[in-house]
Amino acid sequence: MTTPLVATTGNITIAFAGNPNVGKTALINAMSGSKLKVGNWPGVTVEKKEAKMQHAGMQLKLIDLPGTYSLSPFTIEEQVCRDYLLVDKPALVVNVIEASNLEKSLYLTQQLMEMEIPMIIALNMWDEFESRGYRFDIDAFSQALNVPVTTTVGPTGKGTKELKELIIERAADTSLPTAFLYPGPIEQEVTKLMAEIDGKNFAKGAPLRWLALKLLEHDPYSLKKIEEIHNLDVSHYGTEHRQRLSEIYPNLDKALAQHRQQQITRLARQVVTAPEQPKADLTDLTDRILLNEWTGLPAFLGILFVVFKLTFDISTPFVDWIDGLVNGFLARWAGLGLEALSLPPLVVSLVKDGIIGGVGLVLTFVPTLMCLYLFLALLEESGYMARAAFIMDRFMYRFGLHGKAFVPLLVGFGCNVPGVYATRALESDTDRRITAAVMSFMSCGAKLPIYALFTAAFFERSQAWVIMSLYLTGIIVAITWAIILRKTRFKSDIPAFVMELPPYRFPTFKMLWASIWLKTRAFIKQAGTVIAVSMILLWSLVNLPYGAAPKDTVLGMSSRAVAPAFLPQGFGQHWEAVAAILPGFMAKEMVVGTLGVVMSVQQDNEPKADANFTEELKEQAVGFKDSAVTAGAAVIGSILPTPFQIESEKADSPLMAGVRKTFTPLSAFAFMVFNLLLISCVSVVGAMTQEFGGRYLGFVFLITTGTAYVASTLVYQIGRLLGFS
Amino acid sequence: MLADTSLLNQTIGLGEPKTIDCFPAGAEVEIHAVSGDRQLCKRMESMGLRPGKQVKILKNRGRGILLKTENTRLALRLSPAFVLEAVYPRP
Repeated sequence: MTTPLVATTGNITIAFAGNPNVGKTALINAMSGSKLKVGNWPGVTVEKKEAKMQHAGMQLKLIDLPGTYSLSPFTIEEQVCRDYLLVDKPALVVNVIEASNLEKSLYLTQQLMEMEIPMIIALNMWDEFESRGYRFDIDAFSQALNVPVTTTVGPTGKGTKELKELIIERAADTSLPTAFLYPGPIEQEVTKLMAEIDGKNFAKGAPLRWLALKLLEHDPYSLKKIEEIHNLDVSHYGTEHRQRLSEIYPNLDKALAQHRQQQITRLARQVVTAPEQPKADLTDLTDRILLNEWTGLPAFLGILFVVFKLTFDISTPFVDWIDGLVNGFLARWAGLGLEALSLPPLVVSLVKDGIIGGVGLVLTFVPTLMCLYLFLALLEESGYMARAAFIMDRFMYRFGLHGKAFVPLLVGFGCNVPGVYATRALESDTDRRITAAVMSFMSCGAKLPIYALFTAAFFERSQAWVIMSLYLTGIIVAITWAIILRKTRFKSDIPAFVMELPPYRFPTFKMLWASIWLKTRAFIKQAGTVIAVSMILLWSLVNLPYGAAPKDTVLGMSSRAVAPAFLPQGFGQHWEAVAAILPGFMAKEMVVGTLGVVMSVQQDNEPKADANFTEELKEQAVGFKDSAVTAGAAVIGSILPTPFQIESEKADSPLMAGVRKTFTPLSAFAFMVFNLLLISCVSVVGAMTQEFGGRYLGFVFLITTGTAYVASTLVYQIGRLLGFS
Repeated sequence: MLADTSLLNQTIGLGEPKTIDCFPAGAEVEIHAVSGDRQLCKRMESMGLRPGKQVKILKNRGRGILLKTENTRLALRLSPAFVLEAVYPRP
């Protein structure tokens, strides 16, 4: 069977398939100039993504399939990949292979060749292969498989021109790859089975040889899929063939695997020539330190500390600058402009405090996230992230968590939403659910402004220690819940674990920027929209009826009604504290903003008598330069032992004074613990529903809210018993 | 493309398949059998751990093993549901 390559429209759909971490996404980015997310740890591309480009008068649609090791749909990635090839049927498959791992890669290649789709092989990371002193007989390889082969270097774009040309050439050619043949008796049964199923409804449109092999193997996933689509049980097909073969091959699975391996080894030996003196491998040398029994863990903790410290040290000056620019400069002048138009005070306040305030809040979050995304991208793309998972598996295993769960949880410290999506890298559904359930206990970046305000108000001298204790509290609670869930709701053994550790690579600026920009844009679009809308909603809650005192507004009245429920935590006697919790559910960074509003903190943002727009605009530009200098100095200063000096310059702000009046140090700590353990925000709720359904979300919501309430009560009550106030 | 370790293997005794955690770090062995949970076996096979494949044991922490095959490093955590047997390659 052949597939027509080019539709009459001149469009070609090309699927890029290959093992995880072979550089498919980078290759597509280099070809099309798009910014698809790339990473150097397996499982970054969990959904297929596409890029479009024009070449030689044709429209090329490049589909970036998730990285897979096979087409047996055990993981979500494999399922996405296989279903796409079977159902959507691209015109062409570009199998991206890492030449240094030919034998491993050929396992997937064999299966792709059975899909009966014209194919091109791109030997990617060719520079790495050559630098190791190996040689590759490309012609022999291409002839053996009847597939055109080219060499590429994804990150630099080398070879992409030739690949594009090959794609266009292939568009006029419908020849299929040579099938990998099995030993005679197996081939005979496959042929018989193909004849048996040919023309059957369930086999229409499917690659016949592939389907016959799946039936012969009694592949449960293929049988289930056919049953789902055609409402037909086909499990009896292949039974008698298997029985006949059992006389020669008592274990057919093993025989097939052995034969595949033999063919792969034979081909690899035929085309690859190893150097006489293999060069020392930089990855092995680095791993001797970073995965060493004694130095591995300290190195990991050190890297983690530097990442988080630099994130905050670099971003804080920019956060302050954006805050001043939007909430000071822009809000003030917009307010003045609107007043000049004689608009009602209600409208002026809505625009100034609701809309500009909301947008400002979103923007102040951007520098911290960008810094965090930069460091996470560095860890991912350098290859260290997978090592961290290996190191952590020793510990996480004891708590019922998978080593791979470490990565999503680490991402969760930045923002729980990508953390929830990152659980897709875990193969078992149970592991995914447990990891996602404890995700909310990972203190996300949006909770930091709460800690910054309260620690500056009450624990100025031990700010870093208090913040660290909060992060630790979250981790301890997460571990406790992981153990409980593994022993109760998800009672099962922790499965065996297998993960590829990619070679260390220097990340390119292009790859880093693509990663940062994609995530930041997603934040501004998704979380940003929610926050901005929530901020307007919040404005309505705190300002309506317009002109009323804060305690008589909608939010004030409802908070006063609910406040007694928070007496055991020590802050129930002040409705202002309770009022900040509900908006915090919309977005945690709104807690501080709400406290500011309900405590009637007047910001000094009225124009000075001699205010001059141009002068102030210049001041903002100078402010940006100063922020950059401060951030630069902070990078150097980071080596000094002064961790997490956050916002201490705001110690005398009116908000700080308001907070000091409302809370005691103990109730402030209880308030922070409550916010720490509460489900982060509506965006997390959305992500959880999408991934695990509403019922599981309800369960997670219950355990997080319950834990937050109980833990903060315990903190306050035990604290009082110990004599704290 | 692993180095020939047949002489070393001869001197320390070979031939009997053993579970992979029985081999010390630094040993270069050949996968003999992948058995246990079918799904896991297929997964291991797809990641390169197939009978006949030569691997080098980089780290052996009992339950946690780090292997190298070709230019791929694979981190494994063994479980009773999955058995990976290996043997020193024949000279």
